[in-house]
Amino acid sequence: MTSSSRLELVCPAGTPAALRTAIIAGADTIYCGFRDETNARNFPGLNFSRAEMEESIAYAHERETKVFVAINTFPRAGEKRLWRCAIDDCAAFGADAIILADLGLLAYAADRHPQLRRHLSVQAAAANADSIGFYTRSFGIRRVVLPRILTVEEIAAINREIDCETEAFIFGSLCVMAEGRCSLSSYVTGDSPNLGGVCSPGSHVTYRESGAELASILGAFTMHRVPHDVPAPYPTVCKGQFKAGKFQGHVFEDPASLDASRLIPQLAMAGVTALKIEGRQRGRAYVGDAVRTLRRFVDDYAAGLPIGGGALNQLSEGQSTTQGAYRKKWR
Amino acid sequence: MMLRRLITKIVAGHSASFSRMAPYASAVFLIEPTDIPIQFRARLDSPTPIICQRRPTACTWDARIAGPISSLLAMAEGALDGDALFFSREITIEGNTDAILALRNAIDDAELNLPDETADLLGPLSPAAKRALEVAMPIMRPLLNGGIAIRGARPT
Repeated sequence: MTSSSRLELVCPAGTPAALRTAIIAGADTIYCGFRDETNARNFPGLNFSRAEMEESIAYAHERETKVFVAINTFPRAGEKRLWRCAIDDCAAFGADAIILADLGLLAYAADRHPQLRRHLSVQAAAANADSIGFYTRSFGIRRVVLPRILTVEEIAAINREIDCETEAFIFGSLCVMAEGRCSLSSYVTGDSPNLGGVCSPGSHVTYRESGAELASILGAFTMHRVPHDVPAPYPTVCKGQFKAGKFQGHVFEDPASLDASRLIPQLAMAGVTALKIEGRQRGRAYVGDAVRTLRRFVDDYAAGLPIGGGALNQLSEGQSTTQGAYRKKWR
Repeated sequence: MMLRRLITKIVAGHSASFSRMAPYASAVFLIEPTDIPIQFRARLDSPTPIICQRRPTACTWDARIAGPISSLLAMAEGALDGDALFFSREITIEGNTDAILALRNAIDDAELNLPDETADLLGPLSPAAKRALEVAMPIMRPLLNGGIAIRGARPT
């Protein structure tokens, strides 16, 4: 499916205050989650209670803003009630869409709430037209959030073959693993990011200052040490520094955030319907800055104006950015 | 005493936001502004939720947050992003990371306006105090950002 209308800006909110901030900053759509393990940003003190979700959806609708609710972890065997209840509550609260990854939950939602729009989460790692076609035919998926492993050309090829909308990440923390299937942090913490909703949970993270050096430790392993004048990254395994043979450094990926804002024209031409900002775990300042900046870029593109860039560096992990797989320079 | 009343008022006035901290209400936070000679020891479920001490004073804590006073205040008001301050090494965190995340998220959701919250404590004088703080804060912030020298401060 190719898109011909204005690009939709899908923005993160980890709290009701962040949701209001994003709306004021120009979000078309907010995505958020319940305060439990049903979503992949299950951090302490983050997310929405049932009452907050109902009030926030009403608040957004009064301002002509849509709300998508992420229920995008995978239910543990024998405990599907929590996840099904989340879907039922979204239908009752009038959410504009639910973002799902698990096949069983997709089937449940399609069966029990056929009127509730279903989107496929990036956690489902559907990265080709056949896979996406299966989800659209089987569960009536209306939109797929594309994994962050595709080039712009690959996205265009997918859009020519599928019958649903696509949503592509434009800014924020970057994961180039097979999302929803990555268990790297499980080997260190014993907790599953795909079931519990947290990669590298804070309960396993320690930061230790030693002189001017900062050590970031996950479980029993030091992920990296940085001197005082070097930006700090998150202590995730995929962005840790390791020795491999004679190589020492970032083996999997560098600590940098995705910034594909300069690719907005190409993504639009590739048929993308919506651009997604990562960062439900970030504060109001991040949400406000990121949404305002990308609102301006999207509007500038729509008006035929050149798009700026680099404005979001200070918000980025490691204070550096990349266009990630959209360019796949390593090929 | 004024600071204690302020924290008590903020926590009570934003109970939904601070309920996010429920599992960590007993955690002891050491807040260390690195450019002024005082530190704050906070525990939200205590009758005395915050104690102001001369810095450095040895004490026990579960989580420690350190950085310039201007950055800590801006983060408390949601004007600066905590993760960005961490990436840039402007602030340092140690100890119970979950407790720090919960505190950050609770404060961010509370949408604090510290001049308003402070002025409200003054009762009938509140409108005048708000006007004075509205005038004073734009002057104070650049001074704080520039690392104003405070008598007795021990730079770190």
